[in-house]
Amino acid sequence: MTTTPTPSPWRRAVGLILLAFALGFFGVAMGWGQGHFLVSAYHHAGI
Amino acid sequence: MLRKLLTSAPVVRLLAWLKDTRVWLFAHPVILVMVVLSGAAGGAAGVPAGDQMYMYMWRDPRFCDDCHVHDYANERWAASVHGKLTTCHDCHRVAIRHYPLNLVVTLFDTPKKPEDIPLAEVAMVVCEQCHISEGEEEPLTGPMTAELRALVPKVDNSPLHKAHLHAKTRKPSAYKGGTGEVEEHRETDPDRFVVCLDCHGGSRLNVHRFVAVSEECEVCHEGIRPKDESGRNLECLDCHARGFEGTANAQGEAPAVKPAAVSPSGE
Repeated sequence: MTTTPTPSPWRRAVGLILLAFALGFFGVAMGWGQGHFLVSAYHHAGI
Repeated sequence: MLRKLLTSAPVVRLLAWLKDTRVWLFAHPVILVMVVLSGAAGGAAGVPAGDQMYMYMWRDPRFCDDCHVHDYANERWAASVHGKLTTCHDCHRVAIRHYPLNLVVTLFDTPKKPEDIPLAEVAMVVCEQCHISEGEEEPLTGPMTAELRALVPKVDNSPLHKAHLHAKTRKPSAYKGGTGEVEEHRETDPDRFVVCLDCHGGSRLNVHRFVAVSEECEVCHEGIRPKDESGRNLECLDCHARGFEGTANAQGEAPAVKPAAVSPSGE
């Protein structure tokens, strides 16, 4: 019987750490940048 | 349709992976802490990037040019004093709905020629917020600082500005070259009052020409432009510039600190 090889725990950890960093970076960059712009545009000229 | 999406193979695999990862992380608390810290670090690193994004969208004319592609307008604006003191948003009050609506128009009804694009009208109230002293009482939500705004020339005590802006009709008397007809180069109502863009806007492919030129005066004041000894037309501002000059405030005082870009005539 063959078993599916599982990734080493540390390899999985590194992948999750990098993923968390990337998600945090892009989430905040987009949210901060776009959100700040939308708030400014709303105060400036409305919906 | 939503149910179909949620039960599709990729979504089911993703949800299973998320559940498995959650269980695995809680079984390895040290790694969980490292993942959380990494997410926080990514978020912290994203703040300056987000700030740069905001500055590009709010203060950089290249953001507007990405869609509108009007190099001639951007170049003329950048060369003017407005280019040193304002951004596109200061004068072009663009509502949020503009962005998705224009994306739809670009995709499904792309303009084929410049005439298909409506002119960007700038209401007088926008000019007044900087160029009349009463306008300073209005809160300015654009990027211009209060210090710069105070240095902008005001037209309150400019007799010829007042004569135009307080005129009850666009049709000057015959003595002043009036003919009763106005060139419809901006699809405007010939009976409405005189507004700033009539003299300071420029025609469709000549926008951001903030300095009024004699050709704009002749739209209403026809046939009264004198000639010099060689027969060339004099410029209207050769004689009437002082009547149009603005000052830093309504009391007629010169600005205490004058940026190099601002000339006494405001350009």
